[in-house]
Parts: sequence; C-alpha cells; structure tokens
Amino acid sequence: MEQAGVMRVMAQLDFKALDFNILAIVDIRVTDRSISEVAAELAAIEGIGSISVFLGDPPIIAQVHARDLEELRDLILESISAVEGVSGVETNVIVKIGKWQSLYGRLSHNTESK
Amino acid sequence: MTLDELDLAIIRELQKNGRSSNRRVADVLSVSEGTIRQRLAKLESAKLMRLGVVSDADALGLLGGVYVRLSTLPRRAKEIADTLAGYESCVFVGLTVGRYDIIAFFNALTREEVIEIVDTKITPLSGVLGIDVREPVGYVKHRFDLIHIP
Repeated sequence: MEQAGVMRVMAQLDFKALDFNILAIVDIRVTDRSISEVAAELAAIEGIGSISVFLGDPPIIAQVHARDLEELRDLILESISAVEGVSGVETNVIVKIGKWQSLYGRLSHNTESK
Repeated sequence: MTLDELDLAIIRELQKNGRSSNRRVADVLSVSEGTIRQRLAKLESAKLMRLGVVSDADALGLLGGVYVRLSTLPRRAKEIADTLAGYESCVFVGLTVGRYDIIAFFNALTREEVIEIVDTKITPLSGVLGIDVREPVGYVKHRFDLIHIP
C-alpha cells in the first residue's frame, strides 16, 4: 500500500514545533474572479495550512496558522486581503484546540510539507 | 524548546519517508546515529513530533468530510467540544469565539454517514442551538504534516 501511494508513514509536527500558537478558520468571499484562481493564489501564502472550496457561501474556507496576533493581522489584512478577487474575510480564531488529527491526505497530488 | 537546523533537517528526512532508519538519516545528514536517536527522543518526549500514518483519501474513496460549525449555549460549549472530540470520525474540533462557538471537521465515507453523524451524534446534544454543515467540493491545499499532539 505504501508503494502504491495509498498510505505513507511520515513525521507529523505539533503546531508548537513551528511556533504556530494561533489557529484561525477563515471564511473567504470572492467577487469578480474565479474561485479556483483565487484559491490557487491563496495556496502560495505561507501560513495558510489548508484551503477547501465550497459551492455556496463562503466559497473558500482556509486554515490559517500564525505565531502571534501581529502575524495573524498581517496574514489577514495584507496577504489574504491583497489577493485579487477577495471581497470579504471572516476570521474565526480558535481559542482551544480539542483535537486535530491528520489521518488522510491526497498523497498523489499533494506533498505539501513546508 | 526551539528547534535548530539539525532538528528541522531530521524532520524533513522523516517527512519524506517516516520509515528511514536512524542510520540512513545519520548518513544523509553526516552526523552520528546516536545524535539522531537523541534528537528524536527529545522531539517525541516534548510532543513536538511523532511518526504518523497518512492514508490517501482518494484511494480510500473517502468523501472527504465536512466542516460542522455550531452555535451552542456558551456555558455548554466546552463540554460539547469534548463530546465531539470523543467521536472517531471527528478529526478536528476547536472552541472559537464570535459567530460560532465550536468548529469541527468530520471525516466521512458517504453523505449518508454525514447525515448520521449530524442527526444522531450532534443534534441530540444538549446545548446545541444551531448546526451549519459545509461540504468541501475541492481541496486546494492541505498540510497533513501538522497535528495537535495532546
């Protein structure tokens, strides 16, 4: 199964290993541009850990990691908001993580690991 | 505890292949096997890193999952979040403040499974006032190398 790319044993890091003390789930609204184009551009932003696309509102939900509030502010107000087509951002800061596992991924076309 | 360059280099090797032997990692990085062993013990005991198994969602035919965002009675939020964390299909749950009280992510094979989770495991919980379920139709980025080690 490992050779077929069905599963993979790999090092997984706790958020604090990267000094990611702040996690936010961020709704991103899009106007005047294709959602997939906006999502692809957002994917290049370091600090965005995941991007999911939806049919409906919001069209994009991102998981954002920051070392502190200043970094979160810059990510939201400068990096994410600067992407053409982003017309609204709603930030839900997670104040306590109860559980976070990463059991599944898309191994064939995503080897994102910093 | 902060990670130095060697810690990060070891982690990078083990992200490429978690089955690499200490000997192999030591050879690649030109340090002793004992150093690798010692660094790994330190990273694992500090709960900064662990070796995990990641399965391919597409190969398993996994629907992917759904975001479940809840409004709750504020005083019940923590208890409800703990209950959700106890469900095997729940891979993420966090307390938040603002529009929602709890945001969670559930893995599911099928939509029927999503309905069952929402209808039998979440709706009946005392203190749940509103449930907002969002099913992704695409994943553009996903860092499955990040976890929370309790």
